[in-house]
Amino acid sequence: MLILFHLFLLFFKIGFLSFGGGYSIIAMVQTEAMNYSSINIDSTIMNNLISIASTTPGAVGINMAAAFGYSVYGIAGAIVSVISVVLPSLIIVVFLASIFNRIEKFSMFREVLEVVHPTVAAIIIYVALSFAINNNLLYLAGNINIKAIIIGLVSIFLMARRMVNPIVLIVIGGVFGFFFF
Amino acid sequence: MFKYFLIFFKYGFFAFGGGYSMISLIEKDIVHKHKLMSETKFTDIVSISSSLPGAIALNVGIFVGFFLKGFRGAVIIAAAVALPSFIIVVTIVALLSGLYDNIIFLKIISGIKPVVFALIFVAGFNILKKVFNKNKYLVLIFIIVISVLFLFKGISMSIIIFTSVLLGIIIHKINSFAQNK
Repeated sequence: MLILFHLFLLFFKIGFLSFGGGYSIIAMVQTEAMNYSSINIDSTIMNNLISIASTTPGAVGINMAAAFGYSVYGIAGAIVSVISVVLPSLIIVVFLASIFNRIEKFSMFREVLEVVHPTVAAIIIYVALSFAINNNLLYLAGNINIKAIIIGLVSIFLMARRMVNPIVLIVIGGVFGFFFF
Repeated sequence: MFKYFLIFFKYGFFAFGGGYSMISLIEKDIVHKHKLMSETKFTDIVSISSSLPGAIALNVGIFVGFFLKGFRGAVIIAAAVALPSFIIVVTIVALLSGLYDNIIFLKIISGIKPVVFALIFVAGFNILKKVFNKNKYLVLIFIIVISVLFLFKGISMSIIIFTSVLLGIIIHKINSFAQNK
């Protein structure tokens, strides 16, 4: 029960603070989860969960909540985590939607968020880089991991220019991994 | 309402690459096919949703649901966005949990990991690009935050986000004070 309560606290808090969408939810799960005594998760499993959450369809943040909750406490953990991460959005958005027409209220709001955005960008890029380091995408057994670096850079280039759907890259990455890793 | 539920539920199964890919699919149905909302209003919703905490596709869905059918609509669409993630991810994590030592699985996942890195990196990069186009000085905040993250590993993300929200409020107050003078 304590685990479920901690999952609720973790994801409810993340739901309120994860500016920048799904990938900042991933970032926060990775760094905040260790603050809860009852939640123990191996870092290899954590990296697999991040891979699963970002390569499966749907909202990445909700995927992460489901994947993490399930790994920690089965179906009940997944249900509690997903509901807890959805609730803050429901509260915030319903409130804003009901005052949507008084748009001038948003000017202060927008200005404050302008300062939050570079912070969010920093957090997400930090998570991307630590994901690369933790998974030995740069160095593998003392050598430069040239295959992973090439896949990573080509993917960044193609996605930043919106030249290809991510699913295509995920499939190519998987096939490439099967044959060459 | 069931028709609207289906629009979001359906795309939850197909939108790879996170919230933004889902939003463009939803826009096609909500704005162009069923004409439930003007394109301007939808764009407003998306820009507000992306600056709020939480999964972006979820926030957009709750906005649309609220405008269509009030609070009930908001809850129904929230469920429609969350359910596919829940179903897919729990199934995959359950199936894969026995495979973490499987050599083929490990090969495939190590080919996919650089793509995951690229997905996360590009998500952060896109936010940074928007910041840079709007106000170049805010890139300073990006540099400070990412250095802090690397210098103090394990620092709480909620503290960093909270600090930048406070900073945003202070900058807003200074700006409006300067304008009144």
